[in-house]
Amino acid sequence: MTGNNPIIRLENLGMRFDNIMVLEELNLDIHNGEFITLLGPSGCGKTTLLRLIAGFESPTSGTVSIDGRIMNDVPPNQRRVNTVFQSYALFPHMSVSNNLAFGLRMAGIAKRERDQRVREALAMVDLPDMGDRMPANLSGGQQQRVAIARAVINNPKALLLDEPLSALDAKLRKRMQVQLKHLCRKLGITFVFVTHDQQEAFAMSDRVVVLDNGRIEQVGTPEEIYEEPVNLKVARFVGETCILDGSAHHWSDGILHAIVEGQPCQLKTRRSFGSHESIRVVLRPEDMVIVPEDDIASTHQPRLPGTVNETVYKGSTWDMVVDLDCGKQILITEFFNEDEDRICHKTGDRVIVSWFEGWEVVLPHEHA
Amino acid sequence: MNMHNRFRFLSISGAILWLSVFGLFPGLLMMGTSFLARHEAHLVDFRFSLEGYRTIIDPAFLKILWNSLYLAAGTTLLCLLAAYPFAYTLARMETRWKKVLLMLVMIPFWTNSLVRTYALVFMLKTRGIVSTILVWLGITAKPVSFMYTEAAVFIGLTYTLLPFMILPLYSAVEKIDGKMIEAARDLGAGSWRTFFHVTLPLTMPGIVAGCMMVFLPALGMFFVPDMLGGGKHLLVGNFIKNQFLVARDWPTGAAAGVVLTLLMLALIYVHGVSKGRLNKAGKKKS
Repeated sequence: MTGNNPIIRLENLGMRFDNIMVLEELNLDIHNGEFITLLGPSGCGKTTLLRLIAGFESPTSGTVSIDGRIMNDVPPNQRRVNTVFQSYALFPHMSVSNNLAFGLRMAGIAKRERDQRVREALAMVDLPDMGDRMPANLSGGQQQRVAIARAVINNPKALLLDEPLSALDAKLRKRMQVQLKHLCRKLGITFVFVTHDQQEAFAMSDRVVVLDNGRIEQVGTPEEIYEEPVNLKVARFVGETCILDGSAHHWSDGILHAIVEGQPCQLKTRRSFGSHESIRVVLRPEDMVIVPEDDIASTHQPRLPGTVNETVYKGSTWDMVVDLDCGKQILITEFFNEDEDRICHKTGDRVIVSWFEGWEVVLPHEHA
Repeated sequence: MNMHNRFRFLSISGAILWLSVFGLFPGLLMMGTSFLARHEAHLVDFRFSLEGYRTIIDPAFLKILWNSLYLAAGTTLLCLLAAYPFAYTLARMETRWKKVLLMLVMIPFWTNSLVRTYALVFMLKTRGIVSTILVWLGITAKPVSFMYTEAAVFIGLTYTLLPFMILPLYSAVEKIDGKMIEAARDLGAGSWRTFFHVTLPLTMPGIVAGCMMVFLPALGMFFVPDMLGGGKHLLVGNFIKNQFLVARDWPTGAAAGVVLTLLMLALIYVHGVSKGRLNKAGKKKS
């Protein structure tokens, strides 16, 4: 280990295929032992980024460093990182044990130690008796675990995972998410995980890197990404949003006086806005609240009238689609509160919508 | 019988009829003939005899058989060595040249192999193209002939049978998931070790199929050694042809034919067993 230096450092990384820009001016430090997820829609360059770290592609510009050494000209077989492929890529002509031992054999490790480590790795992924099986005779979930064991057994500096859970069914995927997270903690190996599934990213990661069109939009903890998206693109990508238009009046001390959908109100934001600047207020369905018509307590909050379009009972929550009078359609998620006698709204009811004070994110107006 | 069943019946029975008349029946005739005796005036003498087989259990015939196996095996090896890099490169190509090159491999199939062998004669004879080029380059002072040598026979057989090696290899390489290669590299294998540990085993079905498709025809391809080897390098095929057409000893020719057929059947059986095992391993995955 090299102190506080990042285990993987990407500097000004650029990548072009046939003159089509795939990654541009990308800078990222990945710390030792963290679980970091590259999140983005398909075609955003996240898999290319992983392949650049693994060494399957060479960058058109910039550098990839692993453990302080520039790796641009180092072939994949000489990089101390290992990949778990989306399709697992287990060798079909080798038994599970031989698949696991492959990396150790290439590293010239003696048979006795090899056997020992294969046994440990099989136990680690909970497949102690599967060593003699051929990969074709394993279930998808078992193949997945063999693929992880085959990579981890080499004790890499970082484990690169390319959407490894996408072929599993929902239940197994949830379980593997937890197991992967535990594995990362237990082994202390850096995990670089690629996915397009926002929930998966949030469930596992220490940090999430949101990529779009070959650029990093935001890097942060799942909470930061979800609660304080830096732009509309990120906000829209990570979960349902309700976006309201407005214009700033004046900003002072973290409070912005503004008009939102025709309603004067006070917004909490650390960003400062100029007078008459167009703004957008980003809210999540769970930020929204239906206020009783006679409620006058929250005077700073706007009161947006609308009509209930549809209600969806979801067990732990009650979702409502509301057509606001200003023309926007929004989704409201209300959690059940047993202590409260709530009036159940029906389709066609007139309601007044607001949000919990301070839960809003204010962004400058952009054409995204 | 509905339309679908009738079609199935007709198509299958047609094929069976064809194979019976032109494959099984002549085969049985040959087998029968091999147990008959030779006759000076007629084709055969209709009495049971093992003379045909007795004639071929003879050092001369065994030498020819051995020589055939040697030429066929050598040809198979040459084809494999020439075809593997080509097929590999071709299958991994991503340009439009891939189709062009594949076409060039296919075209010889549409030409009679006898005609192609004559073309080779023009390449290899004393004042042939190869010789002319060598003289022009100053490598040899006088025109040289490559005709009637073992090398010429190998060249002819390899040239004729090369496409049968390329095509199965091509399809085997193309079937390999590129991620397998990447996985091997990722796990620390360099190019050579990736090839020997992953690529080669995964293309083994193609290698076996290609070798069968070259080795078996090579055993019987009598006209190539005839024309290019000048009859000095006899194959079993030549021996059989000569027994029938030159020596007029039909039982002996038939006996040699039976031996060759049994040898081929044995090889096909071995191939079938190994292929069956590979397929079983491959199928369980899907």
